[in-house]
Amino acid sequence: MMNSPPNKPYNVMVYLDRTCWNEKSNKLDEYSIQLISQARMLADGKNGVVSCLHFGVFSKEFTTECACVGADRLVSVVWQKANTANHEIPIGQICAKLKTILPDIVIFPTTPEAKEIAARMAVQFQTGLTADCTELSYDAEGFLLQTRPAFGGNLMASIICKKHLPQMASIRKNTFFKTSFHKGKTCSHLSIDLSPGSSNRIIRLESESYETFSLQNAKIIIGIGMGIQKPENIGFLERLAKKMGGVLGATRSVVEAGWLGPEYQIGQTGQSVAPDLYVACGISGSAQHVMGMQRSKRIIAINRDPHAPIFHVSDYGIIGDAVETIQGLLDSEDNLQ
Amino acid sequence: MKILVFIKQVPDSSKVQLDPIHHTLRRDRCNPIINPYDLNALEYALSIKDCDPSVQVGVLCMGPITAEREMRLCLAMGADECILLNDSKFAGSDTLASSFILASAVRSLGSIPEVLVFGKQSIDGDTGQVGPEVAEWLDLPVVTCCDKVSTDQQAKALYVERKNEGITEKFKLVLPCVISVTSKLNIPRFPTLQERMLSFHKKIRILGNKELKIGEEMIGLEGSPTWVRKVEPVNFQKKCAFITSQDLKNILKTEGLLK
Repeated sequence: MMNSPPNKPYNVMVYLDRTCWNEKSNKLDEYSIQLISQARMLADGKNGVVSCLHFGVFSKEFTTECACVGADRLVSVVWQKANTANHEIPIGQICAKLKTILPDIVIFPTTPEAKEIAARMAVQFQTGLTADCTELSYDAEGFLLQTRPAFGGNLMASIICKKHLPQMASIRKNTFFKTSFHKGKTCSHLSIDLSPGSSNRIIRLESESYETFSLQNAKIIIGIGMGIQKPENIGFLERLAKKMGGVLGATRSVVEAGWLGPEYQIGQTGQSVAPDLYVACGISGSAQHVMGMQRSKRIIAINRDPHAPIFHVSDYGIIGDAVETIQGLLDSEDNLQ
Repeated sequence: MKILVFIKQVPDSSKVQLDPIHHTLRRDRCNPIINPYDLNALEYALSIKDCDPSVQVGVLCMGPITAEREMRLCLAMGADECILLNDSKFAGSDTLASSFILASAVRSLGSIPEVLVFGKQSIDGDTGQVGPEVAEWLDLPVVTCCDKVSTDQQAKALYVERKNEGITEKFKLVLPCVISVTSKLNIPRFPTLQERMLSFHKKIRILGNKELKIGEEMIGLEGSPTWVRKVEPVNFQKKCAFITSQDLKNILKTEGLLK
């Protein structure tokens, strides 16, 4: 159990991992902007400060950008490695140093590495950690209310951590959009140097990059569910997507069946999307899928079952076979492939 | 070599339905199953044992007494021993308390197994935290979300691979270590009827806090920093206009979305 010393400003810390800086555009990536903005909103609610935690050095551009989005302080943690390939992060030492600052809140992205770091830090602080939140706010008593989907997305659970600090949570991408820009804002810098690490328990070997397929920017998505009957039918939906200038998306069942790769998955454990148009083909509408596409501006659903839950969340519904309906749309084309 | 696989009994959330009027869970439709990713973890261990029968595969599970059924399935698949941590005092534990209980159980085994394997996340909690938390309690190196794992017993190392935001990361992990695995790793085996019947000859050990002797401030609700303040049904509804496929064609054409 830890208590914040009095007269210390409320400190909302954001962990920024390796993926936070977009090398190509030389800017903070969209997700990091969302996280810092979220922290800014929380800090403002308590007349507090926003700190950004990063393992490594902040460049001048990085510093300016973080300040511009609302950061008051940057905390960089550096340590020498006996071998550059040593990958193990000295979380014990890092937390020991952070205990002297003791943030009130720490928020994390939901990348695999950040979630791993968050979990290890939760043990070192012996505090609570809530994963994959879609909303953060304060409850009536001023504790961080961490809201996340539960039971496959059928329910929303709100969690608090009352007696331990820091209150920690990881936040999903594309759930917080209220960014604010503070032109000309500066921020202070705190550098934490750790003693050289000799751990060689995890060695980083040569990595490869792969093409990330993101549905995030698609304006039109044709969603595929098990109702299309067989993977061979994907071709028709692909043609429709192409004709409409859209892309394909998939439910968890379709991905688990191996019909499409996990990069197409939309839902609680897949991507969250917000296209202008989402056409749900043969999708029943399970809560965990709906929570990934409910922010679509318009939803059209095609399903043989008139009682399919998807129709409760659609603007337009067609009761019928999805593949036949799509074939009908394609056949009306003047130029067929 | 000893491999310890961590298993959780979960409700089959793919079949979870909400009562549309009361917005409560229809528990009659929720059969308990082994968390699917934990089956991938067990399959990893069993495939190592296939190549080297001297490898001991243990299964550790914290859960209600009904989880004995899931333990039995693990034994049928080929696990050598199963331990079920069951005690009413463990109920209500969040991830921190759960991971502490599991880590305490590992310490009570006498020697730390060479590899501790978890599924990437459970389909009810979906946090993915317990694996790395157990690793931290035990001060073991951990890599989560492994899509590929290759085991080098001689070199006392694991070679793992995972996808992380556009980079396929590859690591060498020194034993003893902790990993969590994804469903891409393998396809879990299905036990035969004979294997299921023979599993009844293997014993399931049940341990409670009487055996583990964990301080009560670290377990159950008391040991859980997080608690659920409220649960609400998801309230996202739209008014659906039912149309024909001809209507759809017309709408899309009018809007220029379909030429």
